[in-house]
Amino acid sequence: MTSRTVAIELKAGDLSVAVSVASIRQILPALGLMAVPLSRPQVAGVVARDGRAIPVYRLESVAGSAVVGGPDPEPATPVIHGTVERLHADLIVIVEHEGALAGILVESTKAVRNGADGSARIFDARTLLTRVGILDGDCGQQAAQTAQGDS
Amino acid sequence: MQVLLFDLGGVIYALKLEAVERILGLGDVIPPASRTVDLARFLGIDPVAGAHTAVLAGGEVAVVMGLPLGATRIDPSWILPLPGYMFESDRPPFRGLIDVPARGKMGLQAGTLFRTGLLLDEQRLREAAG
Repeated sequence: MTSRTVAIELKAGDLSVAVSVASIRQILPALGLMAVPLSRPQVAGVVARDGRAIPVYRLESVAGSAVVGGPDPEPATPVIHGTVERLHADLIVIVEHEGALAGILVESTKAVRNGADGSARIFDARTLLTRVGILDGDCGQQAAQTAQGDS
Repeated sequence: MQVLLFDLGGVIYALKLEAVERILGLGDVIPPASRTVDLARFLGIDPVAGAHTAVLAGGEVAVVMGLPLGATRIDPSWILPLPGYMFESDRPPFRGLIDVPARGKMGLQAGTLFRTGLLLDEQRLREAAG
């Protein structure tokens, strides 16, 4: 039986978050990241991709508990089990939910294949975008429309 | 659209050229009737030595901006709106991120290659002027 990638583990320092493959749109080198003054503390910068300016967040904003302006995040950072392999370092991982995009700045990513311990929590893009305040937990669709380019 | 480009802290910023009346040299005196906004202070970044000043159209506001790089023409489609939710303020001072397509990379003074920059909102600068 062949194993397939079911999630990508995002790592930065001691933090790690597993994100479902279906939620990930692109993984890019962090070279094009541009810091933007007056942005919220959890925003590392912005990157232009496919005709859109996509805010890029620090992994701790996604994994940690202190999210400014967002709903109460779930406390657990998932522990990853299973077969992993190293892919890249210093990357931006673009996640998408119903047209809303955000980048996550990470040091490395690893593929998580099926057959992993079933207790490992895998996040979807909606959860991540809610944690950084892009999506409202109750009104995700409305916020997603706002996130599609209106400034 | 023509824009004035300048460097501030290693980042390229732009102002619509039609919003700029003139640029003052280092020794020039800011018109006494002008209200001034120090862009570095306004943006919360370190000031730069030798920053030039742009007097906005109408002459009432002078913006201490940074190091001028020149003027260039950009396509409006290159201006990507910045999502409002990424800012602390409800009204950030940017019209958007300028993202020049790879085929449109522009050479500027001193060998600067213009690829991305932040287009400022001159109206917000007028409001911020003291």
